[in-house]
Amino acid sequence: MTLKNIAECERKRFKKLQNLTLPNAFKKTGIVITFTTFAILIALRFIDNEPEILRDIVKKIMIAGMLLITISQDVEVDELTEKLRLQAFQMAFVVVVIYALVQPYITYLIATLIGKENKADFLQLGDFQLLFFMLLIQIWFYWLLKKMR
Amino acid sequence: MQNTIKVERAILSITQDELAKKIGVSRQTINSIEANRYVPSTVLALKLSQVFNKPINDFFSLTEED
Repeated sequence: MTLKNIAECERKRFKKLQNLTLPNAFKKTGIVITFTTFAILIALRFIDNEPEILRDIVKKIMIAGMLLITISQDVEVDELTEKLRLQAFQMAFVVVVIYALVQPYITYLIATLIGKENKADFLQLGDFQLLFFMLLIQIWFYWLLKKMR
Repeated sequence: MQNTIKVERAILSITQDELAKKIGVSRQTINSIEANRYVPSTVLALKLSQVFNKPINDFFSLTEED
């Protein structure tokens, strides 16, 4: 295989990755998974001594469900909807970076004002919180952009 | 970029939905193009050119902002 062929092969592989979308049926699956896991998370709040690992697994399944929603296609797909979807990803990325930088200090400030103990805990930002917020922002922005098109 | 797609569509007496089906996009995309909210790709512009049977320059033109 020549160097040119290798480069062409790499370009094709990368292009496949760039156009990573799933068929529309996955959107419904994602919605079902997200709402079911959300209901389970609420139910777990009312159960005493539930194993911590269970909560973590349910949270991860919820993130996977939201990811399915964001990367699956709509019923009607054209170049404008694809552009809007990518714009929503771009906006979500920027918002989440700002959120990650600012949010811990806001909660710390609130914790100080209301006199909470262990204020240092409020400076922590979990991966679930960030991923959930990013995917939620993407879904919301995409819906908003489609509505305004 | 501005366009006269609405005029061209009126000449052919076709609705936004009919034009959308002819070039394989949604009706909202045609609406966005007509309202100058979205500049279509070259592929879509060439498809419109086929439908209207006119060169692209006849219904798309640059503005001073471009």
